[in-house]
Amino acid sequence: MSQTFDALTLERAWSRLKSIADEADASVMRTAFSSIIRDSHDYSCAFYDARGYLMSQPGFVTPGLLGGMTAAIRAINDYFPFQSLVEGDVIITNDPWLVCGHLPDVMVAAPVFHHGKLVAFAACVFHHQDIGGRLGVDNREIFEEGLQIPPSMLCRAGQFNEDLIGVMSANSRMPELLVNDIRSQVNTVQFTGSRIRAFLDEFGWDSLEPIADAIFERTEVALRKSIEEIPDGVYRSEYPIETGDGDRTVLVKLALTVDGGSVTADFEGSDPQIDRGINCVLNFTIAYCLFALKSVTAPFLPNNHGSTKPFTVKAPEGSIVNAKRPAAVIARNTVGHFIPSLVYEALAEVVPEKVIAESGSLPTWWLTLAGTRHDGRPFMVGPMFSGGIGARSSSDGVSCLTFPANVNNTPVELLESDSPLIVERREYLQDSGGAGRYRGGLGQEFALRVPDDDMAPDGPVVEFLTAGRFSTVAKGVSGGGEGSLASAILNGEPITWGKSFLLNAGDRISYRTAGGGGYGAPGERDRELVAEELREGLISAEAAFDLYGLKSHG
Amino acid sequence: MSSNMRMGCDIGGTFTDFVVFDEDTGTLRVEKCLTTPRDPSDGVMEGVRLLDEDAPGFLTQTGQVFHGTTLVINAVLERRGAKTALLTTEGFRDVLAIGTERRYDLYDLQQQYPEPLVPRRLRLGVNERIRSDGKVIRELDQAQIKKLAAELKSEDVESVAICLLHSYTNPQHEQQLRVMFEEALPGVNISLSSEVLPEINEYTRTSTTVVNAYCKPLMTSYLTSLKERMNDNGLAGQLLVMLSSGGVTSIDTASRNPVRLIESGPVGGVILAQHVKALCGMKDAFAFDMGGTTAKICIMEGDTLPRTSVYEVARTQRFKVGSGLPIKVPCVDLLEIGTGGGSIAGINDLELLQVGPRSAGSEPGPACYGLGGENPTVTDADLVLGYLDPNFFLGGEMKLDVDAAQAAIEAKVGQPLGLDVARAAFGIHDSANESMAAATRMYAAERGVDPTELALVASGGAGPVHCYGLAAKLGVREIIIPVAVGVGSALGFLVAPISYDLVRTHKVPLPDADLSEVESLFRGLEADARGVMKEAGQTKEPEFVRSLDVRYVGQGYEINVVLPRGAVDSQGMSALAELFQATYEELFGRSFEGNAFEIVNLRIIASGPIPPSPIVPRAGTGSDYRKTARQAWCPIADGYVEHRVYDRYSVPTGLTLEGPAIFEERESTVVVGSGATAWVDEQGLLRIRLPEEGVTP
Repeated sequence: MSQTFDALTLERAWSRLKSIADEADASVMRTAFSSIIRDSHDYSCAFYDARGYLMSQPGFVTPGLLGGMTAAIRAINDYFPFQSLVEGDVIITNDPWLVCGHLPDVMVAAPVFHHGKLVAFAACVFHHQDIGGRLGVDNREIFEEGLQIPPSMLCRAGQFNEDLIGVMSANSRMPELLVNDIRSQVNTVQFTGSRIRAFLDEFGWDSLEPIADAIFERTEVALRKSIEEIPDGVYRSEYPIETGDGDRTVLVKLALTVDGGSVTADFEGSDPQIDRGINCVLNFTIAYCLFALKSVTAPFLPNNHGSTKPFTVKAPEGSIVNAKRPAAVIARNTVGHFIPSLVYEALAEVVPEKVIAESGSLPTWWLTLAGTRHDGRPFMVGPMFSGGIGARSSSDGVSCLTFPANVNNTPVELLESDSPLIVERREYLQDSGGAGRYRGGLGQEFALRVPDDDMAPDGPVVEFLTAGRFSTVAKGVSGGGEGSLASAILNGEPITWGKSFLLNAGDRISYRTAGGGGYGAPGERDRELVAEELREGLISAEAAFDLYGLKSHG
Repeated sequence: MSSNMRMGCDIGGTFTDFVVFDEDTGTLRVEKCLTTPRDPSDGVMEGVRLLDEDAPGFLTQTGQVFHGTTLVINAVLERRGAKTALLTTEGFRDVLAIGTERRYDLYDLQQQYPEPLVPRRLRLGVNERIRSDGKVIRELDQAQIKKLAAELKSEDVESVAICLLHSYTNPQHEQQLRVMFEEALPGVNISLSSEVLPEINEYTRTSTTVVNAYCKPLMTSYLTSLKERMNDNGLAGQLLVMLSSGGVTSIDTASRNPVRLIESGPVGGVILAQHVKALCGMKDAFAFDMGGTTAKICIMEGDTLPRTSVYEVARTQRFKVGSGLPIKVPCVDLLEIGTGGGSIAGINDLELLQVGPRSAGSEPGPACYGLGGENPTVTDADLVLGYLDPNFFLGGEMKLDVDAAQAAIEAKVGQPLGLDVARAAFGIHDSANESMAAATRMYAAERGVDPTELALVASGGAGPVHCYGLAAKLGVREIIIPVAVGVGSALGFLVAPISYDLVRTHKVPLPDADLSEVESLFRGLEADARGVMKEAGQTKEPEFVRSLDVRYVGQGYEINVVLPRGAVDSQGMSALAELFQATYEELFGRSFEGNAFEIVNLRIIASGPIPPSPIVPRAGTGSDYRKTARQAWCPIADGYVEHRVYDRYSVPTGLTLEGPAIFEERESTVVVGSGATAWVDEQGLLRIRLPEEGVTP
């Protein structure tokens, strides 16, 4: 089995490897161009041993990107056998079924060689601003969604494939951003590779596998021990997820089997894939399922190959959570982000203290607005924003927090500098958090206007929104109330998120994200806190007196 | 009366430190007394009283008192600031609370965030709007402002922060609001975001302005009262305050901009290290300071202190980025690491040794303090390894319990890992060094610096014990330890010139920039800085350094490029373009040929002359510098070997001694490894040269 290390060497080597991942992450912030990378931080870096097993991830990743990338590294072998790779090769792909479930997420990966031997893979996925295609959730097939790049050599032995860059550039509305960000990805993987070589030199080792196995083993053992604290059994949940197409929903069903130190998640019985861009590929389903299980069982253990071993995820092929080509997948987050909710709901009956109530912040809202400025320059912005997370067993849910993805919002001043749009409001929504002993996090109103003055755009502005919770509320736990529904209002009329709109000069659009569910009965909430939140305007007088049963103006 | 003395005074968490330097005689006096958290000026005056006993009437001869304080950071941590209101553009009052919307920990479902400093009912929207290009698209509404003022009056607000959208490009509305509120609410402090931080990004600007407003009344009354008490005790000279940037300013400027004092104390250690480095004729060095709960690292390149502007205060998880309130002010670029003498060692979930970030603090403290601490700490390991003398801790004032340290290490680390006590202790010592080295490497890599080419200047209580092991890991060849490392920050204050930084956002693509506009904006900044310098008693024209933050259009990362002296002209600008490309290539290995770039911010630093050095040549007394010898752990021998022990202040100048050895002074102990050489130079600095080979086992 694995080589033995003395505990001190292992600790020293491991802390060094962890810092390599963080260094890679920091380098992106300095070289990336697009707002979605530098402001929203919608990217993930990681590195793998020569077998393609995940070694370490930085503190900041999004589960969907990390999980997809990890699956993709192993899949490279089918296209470019590992033993055929040479120094200076860089591979690129955005195949949703191999990587992260939709085309804007492009992975760049490079084999790392040390003294002529393959020792590791360095990789990163960026969510690019534009990869072409139609801006809409009502796509029927992947072919409408933009440029597909099967696993390809972006660099062959150090030689850039400029033809490929040309094809990518020709397919994007924002070609300079795309190409510069791709180059930034290449920088990142090369930088990571140089750090890995320096690490091996310093320790005098010629491969990562022995240290990797030792760390994987310890991680797996610790994780299984935590899982064993959950009583054995089969725990079920199901959730109707809205499709953005009227009242139509798709049902996702989960059965979690806890057996000693292992968990099997089975999505048998979930609805088939549909003819809209909300289908979720298996990689994305696995990524969020593993994220949720780890957050409940061992949030503070490192995440590496060892922490995936106790978990098995199954989903019927052709279902909404394991869609087959050529399904449309652009808004796969509108289904995939609900998976943690299903996991928490299933486990709520056995470990209520470890889970949280349903969150209004899922799915993460991703809005795209594209058009032409008054002076003819194109613009395209992609702000992301969130509702409130569900209340916890001993504290309120946090208001306006991304969950389960993890990205930044876009500052209003940057959004207005990158486009002619005027943001009119970013504010908490009163009473949006589910009532409870612990209150659900609040949602927000984010409103904007297309100017009709000297800055009025030339022609309409395309609005494309991926969102959710317009018809399914975030429920509470143990007697907690439900969060408010989300909505979008265009010039005073409610609209749905599933369809793209053309906005004209003078149009005003308001987005209201959902609140999180409460935890415990509202009557048990600290009276002083209820009175305080009434004074603060976080809850209304009706809520304070009717829902929480406050007797007087505290 | 002559005013030939200068005093440095640093209020720390536990102790308030004093250094008085007499320029005529070259004497340096040091004093330490307990910090008095309720009113820190009590502790300051107690120190003044002790110093006065020794040299009656010294304050009357003191020309300048340089003061550093943690008052601002503590006010935020302990929520002791003023009742503060926030005025924002209508619709944006919750920007302060909503923040970035990102989680600081991916998996932790229980994560907590700090409450905003201004409660929601005191966050009020103003009906107005300015566009990103600075054009007013909605005028201020006088009637609404009257209503808002009445509301704040009824709430007895003491301080008001005003942060309107795009005020960094057009401050007109913020300025008008100040006039109106000053009239309506006499005596209330007002902070404008366009003055505190005229930079794009409303969340960071609002958060910074709010911290400023929150601390302003407290800081103003503290500094005014301290000045009065000093004057009553005979101070005729000036009271000046240390800034986080390493600059020094008047108490008036400090009272208006308290947010700039956030790292007022720790910066002294870096200034001292910078000065020591220059005395030794070195270009680049690390400053390394290790105390009870944290270590601080700074990379000093060239003649100026490294600057950054991003900082977080009141974190809910001390070492988790994103768990605190962001502020953006000129600040010396310090890396804080969660490793100190009090860091607790234990076994983590992976059954590996883990040191820190949990700390035993001063109560119960390390097991060897005998105050009931049961967890082994870094200090316990240092004691078991023989690096510390149980009978000479703080000059013998505090006895350390070796048995308790051994028992704690044995139980919590040795047995679980199957190691004997000594090896477990070295594991703790080495793991502490490794986490500091790992953090330093990352910090060096981000700045494109090769650690092996730098010397290391060590200070702090635990710094001299760990600097050798850290230097060995980093491949550093030389260590320098200044005099009076125990009061290093206060000493550092005495070598800082009076200076002040200003910044202004001016976003414009470089080829199209109107150079006369850039020039006039620079002149405006310089005029403002000149006023600040005058307040601090600088009659001579300050020296100005102009620089620009430049980036590729669309990229997030800005590079600061210093401009050549003189007015901005097209020639200077084309030189700037080349310098930008070259700097970029040096940092990232490539530049983006053909990509357009743009100016983002204009910056100036104004500074006065550098004061005379308080580190004056001193000779060792020479007599009985050999104290004793004791057994201490040697990693190369993998066992205890005899280390000679020297009295650091008695070692004769120029005498070269060989490791393994230990140099002791009252507040610290210096460990020198086997194969290294050490000597005290003409400046009284202890210098250690590491061997070329075989430093680490």
